[in-house]
Amino acid sequence: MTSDLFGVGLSGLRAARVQLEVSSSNVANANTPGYTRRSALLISDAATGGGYVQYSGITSGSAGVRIDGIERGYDQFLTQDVRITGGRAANTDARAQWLGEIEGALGGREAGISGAIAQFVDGIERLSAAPTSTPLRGEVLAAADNLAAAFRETANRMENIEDGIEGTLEASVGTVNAKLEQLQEINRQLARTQEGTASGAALLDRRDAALDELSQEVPIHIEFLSKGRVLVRMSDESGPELVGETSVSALALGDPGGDGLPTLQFNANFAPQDAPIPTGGRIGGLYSALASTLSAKENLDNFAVQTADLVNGQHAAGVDLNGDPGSAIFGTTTGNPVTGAADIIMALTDPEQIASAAALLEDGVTPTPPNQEDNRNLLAMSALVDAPLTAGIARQRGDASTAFSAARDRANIANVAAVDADTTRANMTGVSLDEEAANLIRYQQSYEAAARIIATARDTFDTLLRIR
Amino acid sequence: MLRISTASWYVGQVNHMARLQGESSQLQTSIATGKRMISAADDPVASARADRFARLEADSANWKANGDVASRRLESSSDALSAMASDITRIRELALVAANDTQTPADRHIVAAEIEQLTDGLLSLANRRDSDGRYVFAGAASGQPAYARDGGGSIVWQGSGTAPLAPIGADRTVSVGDRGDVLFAADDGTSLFAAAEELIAVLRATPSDQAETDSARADRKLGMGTALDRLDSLQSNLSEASATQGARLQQLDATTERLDIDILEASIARGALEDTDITRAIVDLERTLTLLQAAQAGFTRISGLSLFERL
Repeated sequence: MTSDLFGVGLSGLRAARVQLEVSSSNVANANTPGYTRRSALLISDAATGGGYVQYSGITSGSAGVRIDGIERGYDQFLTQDVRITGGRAANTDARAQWLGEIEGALGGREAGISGAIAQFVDGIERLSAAPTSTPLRGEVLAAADNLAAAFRETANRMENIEDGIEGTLEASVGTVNAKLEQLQEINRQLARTQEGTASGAALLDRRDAALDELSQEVPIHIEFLSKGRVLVRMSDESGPELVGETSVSALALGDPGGDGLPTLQFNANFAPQDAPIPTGGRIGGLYSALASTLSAKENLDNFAVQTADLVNGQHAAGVDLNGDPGSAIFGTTTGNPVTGAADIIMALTDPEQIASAAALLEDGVTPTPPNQEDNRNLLAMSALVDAPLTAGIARQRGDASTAFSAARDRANIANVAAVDADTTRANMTGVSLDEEAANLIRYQQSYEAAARIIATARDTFDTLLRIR
Repeated sequence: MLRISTASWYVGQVNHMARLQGESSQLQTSIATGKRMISAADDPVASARADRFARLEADSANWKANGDVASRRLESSSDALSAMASDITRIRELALVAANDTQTPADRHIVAAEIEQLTDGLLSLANRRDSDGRYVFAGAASGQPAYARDGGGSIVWQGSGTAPLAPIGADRTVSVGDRGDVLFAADDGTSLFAAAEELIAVLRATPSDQAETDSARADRKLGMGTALDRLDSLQSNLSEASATQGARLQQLDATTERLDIDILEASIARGALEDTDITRAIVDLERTLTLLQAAQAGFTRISGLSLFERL
């Protein structure tokens, strides 16, 4: 019986020491990212004591304590919530960031195309009062030149945005591939590690951190295997398998398809195959932003062509100060008609070339002579060209800022949800120093109490010895 | 009982204070710049409306500038018209004197010479230029003199077309010049200069050193009668034109004033859409800063509480 007391006391000492160790690693890792709070799982253990012994008709149960394993503070649903909300936040952030760039590229009221159109419209309106004035003609020419430059700059910025998104997409795919490799390695190590050990817990922390980061990039579906190993698919349970039991399938970007977006391939290193583009995660957000950029670029190009056609068309209807029909104000360096915002230039070289006059005098028969102070073609230009130009850029800017505004609101909401989910999980799985401090006291007392059991056992044993 | 992870508590506190700091810096920016919106995305609808008001302001400013160009021309032509009216009155007085039978042919030659001089003066007035250097009575051909002498020495209008109608409002235009051939014509269609030329010819019909014959006298009486009729109608046409110019100038002044009001109203409307409501922004800033201070004070007090401190 006394040896039972020694055994029980010893098991208590061991258990308390492990608990103290676990608690101190919790304290030490209070700020370690991805660290989940651990606790020693205790189980009463008859084997360490004498077991249940029939003695003088009384059943005496002396049971010791045993560490059944190290438990991680883990909650699958909270973790899933963190990944879903985190993916959504990364998705909406990426989209909002680039839509903000598009809005910026289109410029404000006074900057960019909008300001240049206003300047051009102003120039035409003011030249109407003194159609032969050289300074006013010079202003119109400068405004037209400025408008062409604004188109080219905006096209250039759009191009940069497209490149930027593609670069970020590449980086995001790279992150995915790195995480997939990491997960495969963690799976391999988990297979060799005993469950419920501290090193197992550390591996699971790393696994969860990798899954958290992966789910920011692409939406994932996780299937748990034995010993905490995972199978990962993209998007949902029927999506392409990214982390298998024995292999990983790397992602890669393929050549752009008909929609101008690069394809997303899986199994890129062996037999590349097009995957359905995910809508979620950072990659989904980047694809969506890229589609918006391509469509904004197309609208800008169409608008540049429309601007050139409208202005040139009306200009050709009039005659300039030399009596020649108005030549194209907007063209390209190659002399071909304008095909987009990137190649538009102002093609006139002399203020005299502005065709302010109508082609025929008021009688409708006589060709207008040179140097006529006639503003009829300018008035027609104001009437036919100003409104579509002003409205056209206003629509593009309005669309861009509305889209950005909505995307930013969505991102803000998604971020709040992500922070909430993260906080909820962190409160569940993270370390509370006050709690650990209280635990340390508790475990220390347990340790002292267990030591007392051994002292008691010794005293009891000594008493028995003295009787003999 | 809610468990709170120490690390996430710190992160939460930092986020909370960062958000308050962000809000106060945004408010400070809007106070410093005076603009409620940093980009159109802050309020796309208000921003689109503000754009339209800005366009209206720019249009009104352009119309005002056009009105100024028209004003400068009208002032030049109005000056010229009143000077021409008084010259024509003088010619008519001279013609009346010369019509008197007591005058000798020699006297009439002197009168003819004076009328000739006045005609030269009228030519220079009819070729009046505005401060931009445009000939105000040349119609659309305002780059060259409105009148010039032809091969036979007669003064003829060489302008063409109508002067441009400058836009000074959404549906308002003002003519920035006139056609001399319309303004300076007698009721029978004879031009001022042709009438003067004919009058001079009548006065010089009999050489100055000869006596006037009976038939010459009859011709002269007839010619002088026609000339006086023409001068009468020219005088009234010119004063009418001068009055029209005055009315146009007045209308322009009124339009300019209205445009000033339009610009002011559009700019007030635009300001209401995009300017910072300073009073409210300052109150909001105070509130945010108070919250931030409270959060900071709370943070230092709570973070000082740790069971470890008491072990």
